[in-house]
Amino acid sequence: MSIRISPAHAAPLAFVVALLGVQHAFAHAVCGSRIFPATLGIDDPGVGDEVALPTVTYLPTNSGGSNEADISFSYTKTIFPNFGLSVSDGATFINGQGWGRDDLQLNAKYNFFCIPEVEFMGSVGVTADLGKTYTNYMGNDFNTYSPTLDVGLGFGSLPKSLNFLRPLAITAEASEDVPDQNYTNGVQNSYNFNWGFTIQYSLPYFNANVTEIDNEFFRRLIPITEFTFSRPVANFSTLGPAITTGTVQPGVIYAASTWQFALEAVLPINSASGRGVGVVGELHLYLDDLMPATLGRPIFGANK
Amino acid sequence: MNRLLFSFAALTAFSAAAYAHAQLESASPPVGGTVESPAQISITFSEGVEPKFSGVAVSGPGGAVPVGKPSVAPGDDKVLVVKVGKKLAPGTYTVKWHAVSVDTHHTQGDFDFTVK
Repeated sequence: MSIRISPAHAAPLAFVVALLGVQHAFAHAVCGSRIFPATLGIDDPGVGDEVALPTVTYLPTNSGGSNEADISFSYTKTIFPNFGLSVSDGATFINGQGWGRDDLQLNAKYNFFCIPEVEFMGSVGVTADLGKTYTNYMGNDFNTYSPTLDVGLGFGSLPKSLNFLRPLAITAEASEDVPDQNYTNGVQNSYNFNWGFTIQYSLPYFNANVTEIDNEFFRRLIPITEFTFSRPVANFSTLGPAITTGTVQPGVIYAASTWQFALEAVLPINSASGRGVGVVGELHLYLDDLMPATLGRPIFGANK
Repeated sequence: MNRLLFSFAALTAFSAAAYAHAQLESASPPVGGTVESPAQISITFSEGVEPKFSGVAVSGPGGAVPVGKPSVAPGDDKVLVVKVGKKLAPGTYTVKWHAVSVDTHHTQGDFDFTVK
């Protein structure tokens, strides 16, 4: 069964899909003393072998005014130590419209620098969102390609007089959605500029570099707030004025040695982004740590 | 769904025998702690480490402090140990460490402790 979308619903649904797109799972990364955890709103700045199974999102009122739930997974495989490919997929339930499969997403990502002394790293990549991947689909009718830049900076190189700020880290992402066709059913497919950042305070870093934390549970927590935004920048003249949409996602990550669990609230920044407080949670497995000799190592160029 | 649950169970089953990035769990002297002059520095990691490819350097008010070769504690390769080559004068000391876990992942860090 296909779910057909009328032109009147296409634009808001496209935004819903865009919102869902930022809830797909992302990887974790290591640079110097810093471990950047996998984050939910934007990608982290590194490349690793990992799987997110699952990522679950609930939005009481999405941008289209409907109650919505989403479940997705993501798998990332390193081909070379600094280059990985990932595949993401999922399904969406919108109250009144039922279930549908999301677009299949493929991503290639290259970690092009890491300066360990200052915990600064960055990656470039491109994501292909493949429209109409399935018969029963909730995604787009067209493909979208999104070149992406991710960076991360830990504050560990601050002077010891600012020791309590050293566990802080920020990550940021910028991307542009480029649809492969300008119109679908007579409705423009806009080019969107997406950006976001996270502010995170790593208690594992605090425990290892500042002051020991006796409690084993607390020393694995990373309080975090993520900010994600999107704005049409081209090919939207018939869709109405350009409105910046986005979310603020305060939450916490519990980071064990081989897995992490993240839980965040999803707060729309305006009515065009939805209403009410949603929630997103994710279980994330570090395959490079779980299975270092098999699935968790690059296919080419591994250390051993 | 059963297949997903089975996959997850299979993956997590690996975790008991698996290794990861060696992260500092605790240290003696404690990270940020105040102690008498220590005879050795020991760092407990979340995973086993290879002492041949790991290292610890200590510096303080008088400059670099001589330390011995790194080794692991008897029967516990998660604990990296170095002997301190002299009695430390009161002051704040910095420990810089790097570790290679038994599956070759690299990690590093530094912390201070104070000798009273």
